[in-house]
Amino acid sequence: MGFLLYHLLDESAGKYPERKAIVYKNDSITYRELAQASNKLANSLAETGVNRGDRVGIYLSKSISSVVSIFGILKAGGTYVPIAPDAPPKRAEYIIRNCGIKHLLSTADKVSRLEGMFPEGCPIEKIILTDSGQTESQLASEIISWETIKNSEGEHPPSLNVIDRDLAYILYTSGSTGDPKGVMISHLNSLTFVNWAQDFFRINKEDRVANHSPLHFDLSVFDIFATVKAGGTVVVIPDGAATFPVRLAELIAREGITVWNSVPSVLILLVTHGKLERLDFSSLRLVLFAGEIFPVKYLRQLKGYIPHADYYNQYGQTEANSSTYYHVKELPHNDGKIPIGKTAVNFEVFAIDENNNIITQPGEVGELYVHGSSVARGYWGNSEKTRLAFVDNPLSNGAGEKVYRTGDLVTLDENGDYVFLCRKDNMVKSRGYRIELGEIETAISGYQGVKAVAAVAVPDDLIGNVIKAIIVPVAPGALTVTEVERYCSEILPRYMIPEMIEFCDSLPMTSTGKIDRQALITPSTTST
Amino acid sequence: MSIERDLKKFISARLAKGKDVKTLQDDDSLFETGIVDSLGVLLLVAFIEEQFNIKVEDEELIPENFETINKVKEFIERKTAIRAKK
Repeated sequence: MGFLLYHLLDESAGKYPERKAIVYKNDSITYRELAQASNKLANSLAETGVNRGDRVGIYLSKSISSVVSIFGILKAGGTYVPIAPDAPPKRAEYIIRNCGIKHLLSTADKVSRLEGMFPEGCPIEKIILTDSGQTESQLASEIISWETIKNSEGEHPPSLNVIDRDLAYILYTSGSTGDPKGVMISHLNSLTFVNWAQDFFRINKEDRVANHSPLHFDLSVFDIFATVKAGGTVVVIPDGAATFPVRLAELIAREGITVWNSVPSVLILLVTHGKLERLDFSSLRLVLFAGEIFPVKYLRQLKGYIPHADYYNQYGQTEANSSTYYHVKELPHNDGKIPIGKTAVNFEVFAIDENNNIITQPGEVGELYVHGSSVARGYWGNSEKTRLAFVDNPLSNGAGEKVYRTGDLVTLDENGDYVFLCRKDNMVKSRGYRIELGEIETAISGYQGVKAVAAVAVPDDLIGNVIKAIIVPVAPGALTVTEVERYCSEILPRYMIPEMIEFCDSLPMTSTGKIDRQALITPSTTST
Repeated sequence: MSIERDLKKFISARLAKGKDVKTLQDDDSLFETGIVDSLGVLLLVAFIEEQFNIKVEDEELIPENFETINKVKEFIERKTAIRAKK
């Protein structure tokens, strides 16, 4: 009986020991090898002090080792916490401190970037290097090499009383008041989605599923766990592959990818610069996209190049997994929207209007709520934010169930499909990443010489939104764009650093005394 | 010389987004150092096309031509040489 994420691997390793589990560049490992390697890692982690419920950091570029790390941590009863490999050191430090990471899996070059970030009270005790590099790092009292783990004993994972309510992973997303929020996902939360997705999309042992998304992005959960459950092959796409669309397109064709899952921006790059007409994508049967709106004109072009594949719009949040889906058949007019669709099995989704009524008719507008076993436990160490987003189920009549309040306003179309309209707050999407404009504003306002700042999202065809920051300096000419960008790059991930920075004497206000964001989105005459 | 200067100026002003380019060597990877990302490379292409009056084909958007400052420089030199012959 499988009730933990790593049971999916145990089962597939039993059924298909010699099938390829993970492929990365010219390397691959079989299910038997993945099971053995993760058992060894789990035993080593247990020996070095990882107990049930401990958070273990993964600060790695994607590779075979990062997948081994995930299963090793889970089998040790731990909770894996992916840290974006390109995260600024300050953000990595915040995450490590926030959830108290004592064990970190990383490589020598990445560990060196953290050096000096913890002048006092570094929580890290042990670092496990997953490459052959060496480090004299002062961060941890013990550095363990991958070689040591490979040569360790222990064919079987440690025996622990892990239950499905235990946390499997924590994914950090943008937080509106300046600090990232750690979304706590249990084995049950994750499996509720993974089991549905593997069954619904008929992922099978012949499938070669691309893992394009980084591990801190929850699309990777489908790529890895649904594929491992099916006994298929996860083809890990190297970080940054989308930089060269022609090469990424060739990789998809050459590897015979059957299932692709990513944010639309990557697919748009493939359509516009990938020269798709040259290549044979006959293996590709399923294209899933999520995270942002896919402009119809690009999706039309993509379907033109790869007409035989099935296309699905997936809708969800890290906090509740993907809860609705829409099978794209006929495309609307280029100005139209692809619906987010209908509710997945074993999920409950409803939208409530301003008068607290559930919307049922086309054209009615309400805020979307998600209810079910996929809904996360909350944000690590942040009961206030948890209370605001995970609320009592307004439909439950006091049964005590919590639902996730998405903050997304939706409507229904004539077919009963939900259609996303807009956010209720200042969260925006750029390249599929969630960005709280407040986090950018908090970061910039911390810089000397900044009197006031507003961040806005300017709609963009290719990446969804472009971030623009408007800054009032303490004195005219007191700041330069370059110094603000440099400061941002120390705190914020790259996708949150404003593409445009402008200075002005004051911020426009609405009649109610709020910052007039709409006025800021339209181009101003005072440029950089 | 001016190709290199123009390139470095553009990369540092428009693409680096606050990353330190002073220590960047002409043979360092622009991508591994995080200076240029998938969106940045398209801005770089648009800049090169306009500044040097050449057309970058999608097939030419590959690491062999864009991985380092030296490679971009050589690519521009090759392209402008082809144009001059025509």
